[in-house]
Amino acid sequence: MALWPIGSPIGPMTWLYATCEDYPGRGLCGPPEILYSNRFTTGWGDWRGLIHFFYYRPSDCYVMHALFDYEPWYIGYLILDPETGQRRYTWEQSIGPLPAAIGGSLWDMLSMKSIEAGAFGKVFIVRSFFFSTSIYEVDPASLQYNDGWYVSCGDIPNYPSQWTFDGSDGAIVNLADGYLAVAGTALKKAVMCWKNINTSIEFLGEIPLPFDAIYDVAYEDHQSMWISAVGGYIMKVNYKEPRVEFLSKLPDVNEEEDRRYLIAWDGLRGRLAIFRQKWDDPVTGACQCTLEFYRPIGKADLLTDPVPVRSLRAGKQIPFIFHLVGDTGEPISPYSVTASLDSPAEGSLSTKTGRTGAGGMGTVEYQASLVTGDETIRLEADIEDGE
Amino acid sequence: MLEKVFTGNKQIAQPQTNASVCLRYFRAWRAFHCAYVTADFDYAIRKVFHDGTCINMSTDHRGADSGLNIAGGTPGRYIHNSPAEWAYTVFPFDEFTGDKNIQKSFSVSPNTLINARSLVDPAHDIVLTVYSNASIRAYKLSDASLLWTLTHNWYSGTYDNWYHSIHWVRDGEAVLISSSSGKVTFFNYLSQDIILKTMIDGSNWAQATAYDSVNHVIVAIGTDLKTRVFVPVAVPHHFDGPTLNPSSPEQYGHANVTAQLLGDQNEPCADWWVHWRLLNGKGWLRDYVGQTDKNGYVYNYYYSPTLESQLGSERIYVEVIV
Repeated sequence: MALWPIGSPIGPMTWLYATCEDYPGRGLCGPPEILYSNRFTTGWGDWRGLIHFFYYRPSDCYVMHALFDYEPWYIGYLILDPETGQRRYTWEQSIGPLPAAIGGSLWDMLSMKSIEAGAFGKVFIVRSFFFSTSIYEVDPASLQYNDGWYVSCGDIPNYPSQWTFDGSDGAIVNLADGYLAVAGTALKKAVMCWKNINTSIEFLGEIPLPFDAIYDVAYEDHQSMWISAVGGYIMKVNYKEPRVEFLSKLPDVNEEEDRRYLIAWDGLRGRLAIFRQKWDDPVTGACQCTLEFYRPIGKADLLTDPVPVRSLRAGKQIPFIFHLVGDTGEPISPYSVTASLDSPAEGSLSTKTGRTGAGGMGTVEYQASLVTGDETIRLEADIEDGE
Repeated sequence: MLEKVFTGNKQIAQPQTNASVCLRYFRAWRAFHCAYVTADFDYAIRKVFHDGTCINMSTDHRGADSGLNIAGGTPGRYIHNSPAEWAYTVFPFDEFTGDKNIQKSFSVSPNTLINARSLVDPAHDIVLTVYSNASIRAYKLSDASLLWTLTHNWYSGTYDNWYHSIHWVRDGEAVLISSSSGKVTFFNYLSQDIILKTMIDGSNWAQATAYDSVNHVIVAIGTDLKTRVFVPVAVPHHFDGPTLNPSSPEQYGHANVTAQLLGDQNEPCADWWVHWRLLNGKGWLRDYVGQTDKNGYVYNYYYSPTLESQLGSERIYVEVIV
């Protein structure tokens, strides 16, 4: 387990609160089971479903925007086009999903590749429409352009052409410092970063992503963003440098049961909110999604065997190195690791406690005796469990 | 032959072929970056620790044109070159995922920068590369001009037996390692001097090797997919000497006695205690115990007999307990 879980107050979820007052014009109301049937989470396009998730600081709530298809209507041989529905869910602290706390009707989510909060709680979207993509600030209630910051991706230097057609997977906009970071996996798997976006936009750099696909991005602060990816990987990226700062993994990743992991950064409480979207229960059709919270720190998972790094000679003091890391290899430091020798021991340990440092590596010193023999060094680290 | 201090008992995951493994020591990790093609042709990044613990860090890698072509770099600068273009590109390599945008275009003959057979030192504006079976070349990073060619005349075999990788050791010093033959050469790339030619145990390992520049050990992944750790300390193999100077000291005379403790590739063995004795009891030695210096030499002093009846031949015996 790589991140510190700090609770999952909501989950598995039911959609009892999720009615459709937020979108009255389309007649989407129905009994709750319609909303958590498979039709809800499966769509024709992979990007459909519960796809846009962010923390909205001004209202202190988590916001989910969902796009879904209805089953086609069959009248004889005639197939009527399935309709596309769009919906917003919000969560306030631990009380479950609420319908549209932000309010207002939603505008054309079908064309939106990403809806994310940026600096100052402003909400920005990536919109692909008729083979052109633009990124701009929207009204958080209606998702319509609010006459704020706007850029057409054709005007962004080094913007991957494939992302213009297929869209990227998420954009982080920081208007305060003038940074833009766009993550995508179509053609180019990377986070692309730009600066001076308020004046003349300038390419800053790219960070290739080692993932098949990414699910969601989240804005943390004026320099950091988060990415959730296939396999439950969670990556923190400094989009100002740009560089990767942290790689970790969600606990209990099950690629068959989990559909995607949506990520949001709760800036008020300093925690990650993960919406784990699972396939509906195959028998009952019940929704199994959970909302989980994590501290953004690694949790020790692995202690490697001690390895000598000097000549093994009688009478010498020999350092043995070890690593204490999380399950994605993230260093756990500083942390104390206790060493002991199995008896009967010829030599002795000059340091009985190793402390991990850079890279999670620590050292214990063994003082060899003048007698040839075998010794066993044991290492032990006490790891607290998460909640 | 360098001393092997550790053999892992954990297997790292199975790579597809020997040739597609690229192992690099990442100083920020204090561990090894291992990029390879998995059995189902995925490109994977793994973090490998000295004991063989192996951690998956990705679900995908950018493919053969990147991960398997990580050149070595000075600490904090991990340089990656892309063979996708004829003109090779060299730039800093992010330890998690890839590069930054600071690119330096660098053109050399394409096959000289393959796999891990190159090393970039931006501070000294230099790129080192395994150029042929008998030589290493250095290019200027800034303009790709040839700086020098260092001939080591170590290999006459096929391309697969060339040095497989160059790794950074310390400022100005690098090590060449052949994963298939076990040959190891430490050299100074500023003065172009070869510091040490040695070997690591050639049995049962051929996947990949790398040099840990923090702990100064060589880590090799064997064909059994287990790690082995070698310290850059040669195991004593034989003595050169002892020799006397003058070689035939006269009655009442004396002579300097010198011996050199060497490994099987004639590497000097430093810091070993040796024991001296005279086999026939004619004359005296000044010391009966000594310690080899950094070049493997140990010195003594022989006093000839004072009695005429003792003259004749004498044998000086020097031994080391390994």
